[in-house]
Amino acid sequence: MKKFLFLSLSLIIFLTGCSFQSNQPQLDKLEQIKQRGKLIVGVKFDSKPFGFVDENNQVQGFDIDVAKEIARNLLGDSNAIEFKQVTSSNRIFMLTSDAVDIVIATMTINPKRLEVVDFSQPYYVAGQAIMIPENSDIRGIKDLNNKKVIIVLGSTSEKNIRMMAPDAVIQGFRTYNDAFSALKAGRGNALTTDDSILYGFLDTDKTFKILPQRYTKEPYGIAIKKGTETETLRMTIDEILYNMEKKGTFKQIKNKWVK
Amino acid sequence: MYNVDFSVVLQAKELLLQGLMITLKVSLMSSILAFVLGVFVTYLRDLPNNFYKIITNIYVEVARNVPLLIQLYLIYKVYPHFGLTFSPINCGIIALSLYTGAYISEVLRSGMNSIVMQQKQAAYALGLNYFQTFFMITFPQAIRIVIPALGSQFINLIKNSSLVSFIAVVDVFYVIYKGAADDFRIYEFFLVGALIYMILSGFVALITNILEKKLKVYGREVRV
Repeated sequence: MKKFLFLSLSLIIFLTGCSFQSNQPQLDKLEQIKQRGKLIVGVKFDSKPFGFVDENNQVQGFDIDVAKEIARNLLGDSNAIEFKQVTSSNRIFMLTSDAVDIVIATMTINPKRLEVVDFSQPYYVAGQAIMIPENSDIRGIKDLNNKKVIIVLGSTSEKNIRMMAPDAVIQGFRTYNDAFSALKAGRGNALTTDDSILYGFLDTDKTFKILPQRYTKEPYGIAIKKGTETETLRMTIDEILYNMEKKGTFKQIKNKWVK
Repeated sequence: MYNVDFSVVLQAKELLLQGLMITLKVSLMSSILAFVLGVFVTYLRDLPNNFYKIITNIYVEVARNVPLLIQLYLIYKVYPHFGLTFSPINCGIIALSLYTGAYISEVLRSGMNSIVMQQKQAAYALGLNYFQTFFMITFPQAIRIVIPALGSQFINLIKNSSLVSFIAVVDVFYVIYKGAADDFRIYEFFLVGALIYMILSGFVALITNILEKKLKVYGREVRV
């Protein structure tokens, strides 16, 4: 009994503690970033070609170049930036807990996510694809029924597979590397996620192939915490993205990373 | 401001129940295997044979001192290279059994150490062999003394079983994590998860308490 009292008490303190925090007036996010002098960006470290660690231990990729361009426009210095690793399953927590200012991590804009975070305009459109070993006899999504399909938890791919191949046995992992190494080890028959990420894996290992069909359109956006204090930041980022599109910076970045 | 809404957890009820069955299966199988392994190791350690002692000591120290998650990944990712491929759920059961078995054998050993040597000598003098002495004289006394400590090991096992979600076993923690990641309902899912594990472990604690009372050895109670 005592234990339960203690638990419920600590629960109440925990929950109310959270609400106290959010009642405090918040400084405008853009001002915060400018005062700090650097932008903290959540990116992926395991998703070639969007965000990955190269041979020199530097984070590189499409998302990283976009982040640098934003930092250059916000703060006048493309290196005034700190990259923090996020995964598909923790990127929203990182954002809502203020661990990062923005998340640029191959994140698809969808209604469910829009309830929790804000998105910039889309900066890239990917599509969900299926990757299989070269000698596999899987021809399309319908063949995935009763097969073991590897996904990454917290990504949009699982819902689509469940809809189009309801009898697929889904194995969820926490990172793309875990997922791909499971496919390599023969722990599953197919890996499904956005084609952009699959291309990165194909770069490192040619014994796999990607099926030609694309099952969805996945517009990637820059995620920003919801709230009045982030509004100016979101609008500024949209403006920067618009200018990048106009000046052709995006084309350059795209040609650099995505074939 | 975050709105706490537990209805999302209710929607995932089916999945949670399926996950619970897997957690129960993994925990139960590993508990049995770990206990058998622990008793076996304790028996080998009790024999007057230095070879067994060395082997069992190596096993116990390796299994105790390597993080469970690494053991799990070793069995899941490295064993297949040596031709030993197990399904994810079996990998989990093996890792949990090996890990907890080492702890259980240590707990049992502490119980064995509390049995005075003269009992063994008397048993040998009466013509009992090692096996009979262990299972009829010393072990039954030792296990009664260590029931509370043994109970904690089983509780730990249940909680540790959540690590199998890392190798894509759909246990309760996998469902909770997935729910939190897909629906962004962090508080709801993790609080419900905490509650589920508390109930499971609390059940084991209850059984241990009952067993402790039932099997109390008069004159040898542990006084608090």
